[in-house]
Amino acid sequence: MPKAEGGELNGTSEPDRPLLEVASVEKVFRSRGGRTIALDKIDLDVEEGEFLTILGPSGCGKTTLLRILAGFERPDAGEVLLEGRAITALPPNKRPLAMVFQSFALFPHLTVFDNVAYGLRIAKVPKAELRERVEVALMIINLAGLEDRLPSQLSGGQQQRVALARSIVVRPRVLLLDEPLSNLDARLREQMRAELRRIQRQLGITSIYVTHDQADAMAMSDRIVVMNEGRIEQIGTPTEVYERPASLFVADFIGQANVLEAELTHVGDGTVTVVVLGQQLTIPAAVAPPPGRVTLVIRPEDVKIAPLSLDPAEVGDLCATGRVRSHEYLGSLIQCVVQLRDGTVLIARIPKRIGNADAFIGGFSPDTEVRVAIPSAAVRPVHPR
Amino acid sequence: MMLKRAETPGPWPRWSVAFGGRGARVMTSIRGHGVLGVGVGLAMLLVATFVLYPIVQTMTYALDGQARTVWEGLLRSAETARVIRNTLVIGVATGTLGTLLGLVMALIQTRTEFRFKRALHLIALIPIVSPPFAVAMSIITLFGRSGLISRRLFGVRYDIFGADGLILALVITFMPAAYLSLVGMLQSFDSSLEEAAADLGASTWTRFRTVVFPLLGPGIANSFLLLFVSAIADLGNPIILDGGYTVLSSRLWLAIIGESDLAEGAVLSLLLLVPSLIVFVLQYAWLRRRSFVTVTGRPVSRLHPITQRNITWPLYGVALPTALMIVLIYGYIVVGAFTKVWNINFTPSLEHFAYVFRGPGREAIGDSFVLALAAMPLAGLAGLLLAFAVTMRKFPGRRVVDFASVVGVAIPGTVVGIGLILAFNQPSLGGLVPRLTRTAAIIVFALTVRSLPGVVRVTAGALNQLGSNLEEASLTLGATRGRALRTVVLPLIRPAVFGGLVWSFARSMTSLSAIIFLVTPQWRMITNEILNEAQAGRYGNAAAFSVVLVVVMVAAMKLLAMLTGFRPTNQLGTE
Amino acid sequence: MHLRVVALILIAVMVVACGGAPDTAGRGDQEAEPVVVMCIVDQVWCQVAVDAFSAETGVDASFVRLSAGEGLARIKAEAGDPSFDVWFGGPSFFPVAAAVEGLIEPYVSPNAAAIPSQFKDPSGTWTGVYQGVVGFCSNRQILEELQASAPSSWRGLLDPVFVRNVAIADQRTSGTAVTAAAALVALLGSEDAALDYLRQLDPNILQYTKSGSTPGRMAASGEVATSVIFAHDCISIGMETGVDLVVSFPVEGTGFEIGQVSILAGTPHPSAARTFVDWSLTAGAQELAATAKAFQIPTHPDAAVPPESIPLTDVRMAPGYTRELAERLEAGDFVNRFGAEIRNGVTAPAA
Repeated sequence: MPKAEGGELNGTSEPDRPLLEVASVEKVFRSRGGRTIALDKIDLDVEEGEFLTILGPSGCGKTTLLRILAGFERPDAGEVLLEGRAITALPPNKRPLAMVFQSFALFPHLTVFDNVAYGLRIAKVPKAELRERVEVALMIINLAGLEDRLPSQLSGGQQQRVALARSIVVRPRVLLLDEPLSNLDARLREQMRAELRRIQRQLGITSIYVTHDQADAMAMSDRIVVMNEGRIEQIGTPTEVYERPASLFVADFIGQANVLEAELTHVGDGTVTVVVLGQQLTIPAAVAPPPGRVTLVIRPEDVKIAPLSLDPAEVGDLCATGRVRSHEYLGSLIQCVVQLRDGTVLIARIPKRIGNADAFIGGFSPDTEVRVAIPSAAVRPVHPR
Repeated sequence: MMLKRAETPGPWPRWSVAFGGRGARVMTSIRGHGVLGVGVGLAMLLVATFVLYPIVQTMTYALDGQARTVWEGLLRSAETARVIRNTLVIGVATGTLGTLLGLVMALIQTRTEFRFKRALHLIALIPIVSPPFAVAMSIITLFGRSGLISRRLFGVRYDIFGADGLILALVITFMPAAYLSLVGMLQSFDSSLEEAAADLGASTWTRFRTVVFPLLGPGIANSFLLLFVSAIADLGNPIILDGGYTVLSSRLWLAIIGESDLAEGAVLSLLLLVPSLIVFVLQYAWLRRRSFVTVTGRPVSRLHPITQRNITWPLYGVALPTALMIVLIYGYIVVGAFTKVWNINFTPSLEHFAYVFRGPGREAIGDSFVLALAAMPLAGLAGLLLAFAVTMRKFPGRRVVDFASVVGVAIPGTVVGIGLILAFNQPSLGGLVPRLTRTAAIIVFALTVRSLPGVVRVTAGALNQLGSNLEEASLTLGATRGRALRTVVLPLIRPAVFGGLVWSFARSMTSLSAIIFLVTPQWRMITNEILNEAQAGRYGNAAAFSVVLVVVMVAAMKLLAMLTGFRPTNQLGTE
Repeated sequence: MHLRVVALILIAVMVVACGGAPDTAGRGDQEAEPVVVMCIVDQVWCQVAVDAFSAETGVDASFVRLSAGEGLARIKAEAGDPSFDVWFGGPSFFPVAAAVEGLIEPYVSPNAAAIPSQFKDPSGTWTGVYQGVVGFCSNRQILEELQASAPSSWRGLLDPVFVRNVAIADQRTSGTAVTAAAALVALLGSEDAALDYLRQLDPNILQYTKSGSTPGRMAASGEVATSVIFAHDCISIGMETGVDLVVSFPVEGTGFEIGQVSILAGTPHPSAARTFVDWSLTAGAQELAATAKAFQIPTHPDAAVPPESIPLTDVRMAPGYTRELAERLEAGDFVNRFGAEIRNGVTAPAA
């Protein structure tokens, strides 16, 4: 199917079927040192119109997967299906997918206009329509008026937007983005994140975004696919992935996690009872872990602490006392490392209070004795990996 | 990330085109490549026929039954041992001195605040455009029995023929190659390493001793090897200057020209080929393991100029006499061209130029031009295709193609010539190839073989710098492979490619050793004419020829550069 | 960019195609047969001769300049399939040696009738076009510095004052040297005695050169004090460089050469070759030498002898020196023995 006319943006595929399916895709890289398994039986469905992020540390296989989707690599096993049709053997230029590269890959010898028009020219779009579509694309990304500039005359942020425009103007069925924001500085990054999301919503293009930055993933995605060492750890919405991490890796990779070992004593209906920190606690659990030792995860912001000197204001299901070992003042919050009586170390985050900041911080100075309280709903069992 | 226009390739000579380079180049498999595939196939055929096959033929000739008598003769005679020893001495001496001088000049250029850097740079580059013999003749007239310097200034009738004269000539000729290579390396050197050392208390000298030089080690060794191979392969200077201190290349030349003994020629070619190939393989394997110099892509060395007198003055003390020597030698050639009898009669005269532009001179200029031009597109196209194949596509035998593309640079020119004769003196390859000796075609092929590796290297360097992203971006927007190459890759490497062509043209014009066995009365080369004049002792004519050759070459290069917008910076031109 | 590349390719193809053509066009086309001359005499004379020949006869001609020894080696290697048609210049004993291997095509030109019999081979192997005599060529200024006088005898050349101050050609490449050696053989009675002399002379030699006339240039440039070359070369060089060169002859007697012209066996252009030989034997052709500042003595009795030349009657020939003696030396083992015993197997010179 021609590249630049990927079909109506709102999709003509069967409503029940996902737009893109990755079926048991495997990829092994052979090198001097041996074999590396880049992708280990990956199964993934991408729904029409969604913004899906593939998140993971470097080397986890996310870029390989994206390149397989784009057609630059061939999987050793498995299939990629678009609207039910296998496209695994199609060369990249025949797939109705467009990619935005980390390095932008703008053609340095072509003007902004020609860069954006490149794909349209290949598809032999008639002149008038071509001009219009390019202008529209440039307007969408807020770069109208810069048609005649060369890439070398643009700032990093502007280049990134041109790269985006170039890909969306050909109306791909799926837009692939390979860490496009990683070359921008922090402030610009935040701006572009919002921009990107806005444009995607406005146009409704199904997008697959690859990144190692969990902030990007959390802020932009409809769903997140967390990958590690060639395997998918968890697929879910940002809230699911954050609040109910499926494994220790996910819990640790997204946000921070306090990890505790506990003993599972009883399985209830949607709950389990564990013994942790010497106390018995019933916590919610959608899937019951196997009996025996279980790994628990608590988010630092759920760890409430208060100096012992104050009145016992905090009450929680899981209580302990401890001593502050160190703290970091981060402006909007204080992050404390607390050591409990039994030696367990917890990280807690206390949001700032209005009032005398110095006194507030002073209240958590090292060696202060504090009471620790954790609600049971904040304690989650995870797969111990 | 800003993408700059592709520039000339990395700092040091690349023997393996596929494994150098900074850009992340992702290999794609070579499927469905219609025209491109055919083109690459043809280019490989060219290389196989005119580079590999002649080498194989030479080895066959040199190792078969008939050659046994030659081997026995050679091994028995003390002369052979002497010749080989001489060759090694020349090679090592040139390598060492040339690299040292190159290093000094490079240090001054990149690390000091010398006021006349630009002039020094230009002077260091003069020998690159010099034709063969020019230096040798000039040295004789300057430092010989009646030398301007030796006799008229110092009253000494010095016998310059032999090792000393030869080494001087070779060092002057090849030092620029070492210089350019080392300048490139020093410029890419990550200065934060030095800063760290300084921070820990190291003085300038200690910094250089413990950080810069060790890391430059591979580059320096590389320079040495390059100069060694160039020196032993050189033909022009030994012919004039060796005066009995015979080296392998002149011995080889004599076997063919003087004695018309192809068998002996084949055997000697093998002897000359072996050290070159060994050196080449060493560098090929070595560089693949990556040298130590960290390359940041930003020239940052200007942060720490050396200002201590006790270091800079010795440097100047070596560099300035060297520069003076170069100016003297090349200046005297110009003097010789414009005076009645070089070094004897200083009356200004244009008679030598008159000679050059009549008869064989004019023919030779025309023929050389035509042949060099004919070789250019051949080398250009083949080089382009090979560089594409080797850097951009994965296919079985890629390493072989990579090796074969650049091995031409390791074969001494004389061996190229002899190889071609041995291979094509009769119809070969089952009658597919007619007899090629005594035609213009064989000369064109010899020139192509000589300049092909340079084009391949330059193009591959540019492709490596380009990275694969642009091509992929093109594909993802719907372009076919061919279109992607045409609209994106080619325009961006065009300056480098044309630079390679220009360089190949220059090389062809000054080429001597490769074509000297192939010239015919119908097809003359300027370099051969210079040889005739030099041998006849008519140095004035030879000097005039040299001047004309340089002017023609520089003019042609400037013209081509203007047409294509390329400025050569790091090219290494040696005969 | 495409167009440029395509254009260049087209040009290249055209060029190579045209370039290849003349090599094969020669055969069969009698009208414009080019003739290739293997020329031993001085390059300038070669050019003058070839130009004049083309102008007079309308036949295209070109030449390659080689030294006599090189030429012999070349045609031996090309045996029967020569890239040359005519062998012009160099001593007559060379074609004799070549004829032994069947490499010469005998041709008695109608113009040979005018040439005296001592200057030609009756069977037409070669015909003489000039004569030259071996002598000493010295640089007056250097002689003064050395406080020596120009050598007047072979014995005198051995004088210690000339240590490393003499230049002579190498017999393996030059006909001049063989001529001189033949004179020595005649004078001293045997090849061994001649080799002995050369052995004694060796310490005085600064350089053995490839070409016969180069020693004279070395004397002119002051590299050496004196040299052993053909007298006519000495005169030419003196004129060309403006250096004061002194010609002298050994009182014991010296040797002479007859410069020859011959046709190579298997020549691709036999008819044109003959035309050239005919032409070169005319008085007019021989007089051209002087215009090229070559002062050999012409063999044609009617040709004007250049005033600068030294008439052979003024010089004493070594008793017993004959052409045949030189021919025997060239064809025999003498030259090899020279290479082995005097030069110790050192490679023949390249320049």
